[in-house]
Amino acid sequence: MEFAEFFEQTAPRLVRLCFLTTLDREAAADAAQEALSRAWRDWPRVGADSSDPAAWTTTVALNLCRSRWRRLARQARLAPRAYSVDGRPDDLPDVDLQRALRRLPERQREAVVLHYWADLGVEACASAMGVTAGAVKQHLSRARQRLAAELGEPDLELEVESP
Amino acid sequence: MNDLRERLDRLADAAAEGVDVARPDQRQAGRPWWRTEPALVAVGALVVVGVVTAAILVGGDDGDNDVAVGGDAGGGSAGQGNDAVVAVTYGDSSGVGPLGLQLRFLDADGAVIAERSPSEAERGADDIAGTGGIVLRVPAGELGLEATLQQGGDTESCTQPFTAAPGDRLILRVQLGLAAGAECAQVQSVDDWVADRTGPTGESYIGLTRAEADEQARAAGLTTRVVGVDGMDLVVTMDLRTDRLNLMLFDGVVVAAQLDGEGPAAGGAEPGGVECPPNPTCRTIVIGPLPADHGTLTIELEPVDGTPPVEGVTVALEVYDSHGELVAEPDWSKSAEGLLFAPVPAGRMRLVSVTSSPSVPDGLRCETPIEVQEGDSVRVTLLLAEDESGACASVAAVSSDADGLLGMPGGLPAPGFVGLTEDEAVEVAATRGWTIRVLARDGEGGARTDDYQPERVNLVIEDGRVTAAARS
Repeated sequence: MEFAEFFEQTAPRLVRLCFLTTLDREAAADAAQEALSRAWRDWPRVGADSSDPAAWTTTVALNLCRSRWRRLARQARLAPRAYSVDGRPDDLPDVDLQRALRRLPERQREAVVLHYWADLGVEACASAMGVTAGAVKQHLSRARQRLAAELGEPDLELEVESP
Repeated sequence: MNDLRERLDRLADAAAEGVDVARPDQRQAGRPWWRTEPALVAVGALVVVGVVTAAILVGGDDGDNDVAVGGDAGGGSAGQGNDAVVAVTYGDSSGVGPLGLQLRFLDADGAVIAERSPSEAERGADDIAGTGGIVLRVPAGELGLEATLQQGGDTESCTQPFTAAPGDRLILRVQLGLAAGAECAQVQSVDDWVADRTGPTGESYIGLTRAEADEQARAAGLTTRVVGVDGMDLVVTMDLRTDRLNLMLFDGVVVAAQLDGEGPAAGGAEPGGVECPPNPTCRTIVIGPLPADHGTLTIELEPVDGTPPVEGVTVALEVYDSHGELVAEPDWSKSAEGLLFAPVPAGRMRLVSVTSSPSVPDGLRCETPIEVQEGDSVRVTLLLAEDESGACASVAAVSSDADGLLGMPGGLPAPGFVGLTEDEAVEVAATRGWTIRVLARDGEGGARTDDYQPERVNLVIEDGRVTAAARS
């Protein structure tokens, strides 16, 4: 696959994934941009037929999202941006969901986003997060409980899908 | 599930509106690349231990970080054949980027073999965009670096001769305009730059690319971060994360790797604990990569006058699971500087500690409930004597994230705060005559002062409850 094709397929999804895990548009754009830059830099290897560039980029992006450095860099204005974020206030929808996600510990949020939004199986989530499948299940289980409580939907049932 | 999925979709779609990520391959050619800013930041729980030097970035190539000068153009590893590899940075402190700086590399006859200026092309840094020095492959021999700095209407120039032997890896730190009387550029070998910054765990990472190191680390249950690139030490947090490998990169490969808390490999920490020099970045670690379904129990002694007591203190430790079964007996003799890392099975447990010290020779027995998540860590501070509330041990942080946000391992203990709601914490603090300061809430830290106020409790709040606490 050519990088250009990969970029077109991946960039929009990556920005969304990064936003859902950080709940910060600038951090999401930062992480997505950086992950894609790295993918491009290492494209001969990352894009090789035998590898999974989407999974690789997702893992890199998650690591970047997780990194406090991004926060630090942002505050220090260290990284001029190659992307644009419009100046409108974050009048994003579904404040309840945002709050519920924000209150989830980082790992639980990642697990929820990867599993329930990105449709990754438990094993794929584990690989992307760099943890065991057991840990993913634990994160998902706890996240479900918290989300149910936060969203006021005690009957919220979320199946953990097989790998 | 569909409902949640749809709500996540809607939220993500709305957030992505207006975010335009540039294609890196197109961005490379058309966009000014100079990316450097002063970088001294001590924010929230963060302590600056490195300094980002102004970055001088590679010019005019097609995406490869290296520029072949004379010799072959192979990239990646250190000098090949008769080549040496040279990285150029601007000083060793932060400052406004030297946009008026011109660099020329000269051969023994004074002929220009390469010319660079910080306004040409972009070099993607490994961990942080905008940091990375010029990296050149140069022919071995007697060479010179001529630096010219134009500021205002003034022009300064100097030449730094240097010798590059085949295979050398050198760092040239341009001093021009930075300090009166300074030499034109300091010359340092990569080996000197990374001296004592590789631990036992990190040795197997030397020579790997960042991506390869990441992959190997992930397989070992570790995370990585870059703390130095091409001769520049980067700003990093001082939080202690025992599963994090600190990487130093030169010319695209790892030249040093050290696990957080781990001492240097040479003469330093072997797994099991060996003393290392008393400095804040050198602590002996007693565990390697965590076994599956395990977390880390970090046990520290209450500091006295800012340092952990070591002389005359003995500690016996046992960890019991929720069924009362003994699951770990951390060996305090393997501690260093009053700090011990012990792998323990994930789950709810009880830490039983008996701490004997000159002030309590018969020993102070404590039971501390803890809960460790897989791959995470919990930090417990053992008190040398019961405090006024009767506590003799204190959970300082329930997770490595909380610990990182607290950012003060070695802070004075604040027993009884972890687990409280914020309101409860305020009440408890008031009864002890303390004030509180919330350093971070729900994962977000803020700026803070580093003044010392032992009667102030610093809190990390997550989901309305205290997850880390210490006084300082």
